[in-house]
Amino acid sequence: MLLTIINQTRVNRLPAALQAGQWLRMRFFCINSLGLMVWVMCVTLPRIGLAENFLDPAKVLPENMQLHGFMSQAFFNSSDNNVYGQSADGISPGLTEIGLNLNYQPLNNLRFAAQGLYRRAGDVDPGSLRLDYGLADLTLIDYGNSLLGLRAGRVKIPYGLYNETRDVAFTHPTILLPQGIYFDRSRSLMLSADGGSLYAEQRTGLGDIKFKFNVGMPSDDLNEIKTIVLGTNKANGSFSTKPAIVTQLSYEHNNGEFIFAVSYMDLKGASKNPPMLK
Amino acid sequence: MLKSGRFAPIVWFVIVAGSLLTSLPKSVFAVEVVVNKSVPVSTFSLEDLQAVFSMQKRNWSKHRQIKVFILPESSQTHQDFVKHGLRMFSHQIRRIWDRMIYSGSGAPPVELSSEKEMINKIANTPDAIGYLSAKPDNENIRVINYH
Repeated sequence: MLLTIINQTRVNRLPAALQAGQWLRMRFFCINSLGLMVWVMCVTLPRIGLAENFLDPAKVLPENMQLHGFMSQAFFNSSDNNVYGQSADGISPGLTEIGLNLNYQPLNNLRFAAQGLYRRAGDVDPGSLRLDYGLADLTLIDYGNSLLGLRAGRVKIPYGLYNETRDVAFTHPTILLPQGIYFDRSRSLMLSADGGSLYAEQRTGLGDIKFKFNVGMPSDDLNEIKTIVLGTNKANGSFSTKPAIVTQLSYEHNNGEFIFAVSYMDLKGASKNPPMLK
Repeated sequence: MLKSGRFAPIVWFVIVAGSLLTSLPKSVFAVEVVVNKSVPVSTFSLEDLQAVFSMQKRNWSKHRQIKVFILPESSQTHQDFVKHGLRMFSHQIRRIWDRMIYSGSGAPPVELSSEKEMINKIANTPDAIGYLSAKPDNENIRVINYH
């Protein structure tokens, strides 16, 4: 089955320089279904065997705590265009992703979870560490086949089918995600947001229905935004994001054999001081 | 005699595929879903079982969280359980757990190293559920039927 995408992207790109108080506004709307899409030819080692069990966390941690991790190193070879380094007529090992997360459940209805992520991506990111998510998850209602809860802190953005685990290669069917939906150019805006999420799940005999409503402040990677808008990161000025709304309704049939999701995202950013090209 | 001609790859394919097929272990489905005797449920539907092991159904009743235990993916009992018990693919349930772990939306079942450890855990953990290749002789463990 081919991934079907109805994707409208409207980016009101501003002229060469952003003016103070003007909005960079992006609206995305997409409907997609689970499937397969073949992208750039590449080889990866999605999960190195020792990654998950090297500490044997079960023996070190108390029972209500879990530690998980992964490590992925990609090697790219392409015919013409370079992907994460010199991959044309060569092999580029330019993409490395390492993650480690901790899950702690002190109470039946309260859970804490945090994940640190290291990522190195070609010339764009020489190697950086960030808090991918760090949240408290409170279950408000868990009755029969229904679930309602709240997450607060740094929460992953539920956009499309794979955005919440976009940096974990073995959780999606392709190594690189389709760029029409999961933009890598402005990825920092889409990773996670500091705020909260209300979620509801309903299991039925015909499948599961899940709903998420997130409000939060996305990360504002100034250099990345300047590069997108101005074409260079060598500019003065500053940029900040505004609280964003992301909501998703999904239907999963037969335990995720088929997943259908509708996501909506409204992101706003503004330049604080007019950036000037150096 | 085998010559390196156009048929050589086909011959090799038949030899390799044939030896692989005949060397596959014959899996006999014998997996019992077991619970600690404190579990307040006696019959189960397949959907319930799937929901419990995919960590969607998290409580037996109010304030009684289900403690889910699994065996390593490499174990035959786990493979049999997922395939014939849950009627899922093992990569399918692995993907559900992975997406939970790496998006921060939940925690997967606790993995134990052997059936011996499974018997020990199920017998000593209230509200626990797991699976074994045979019914153990332990008064704290009950086999659960599902349909």
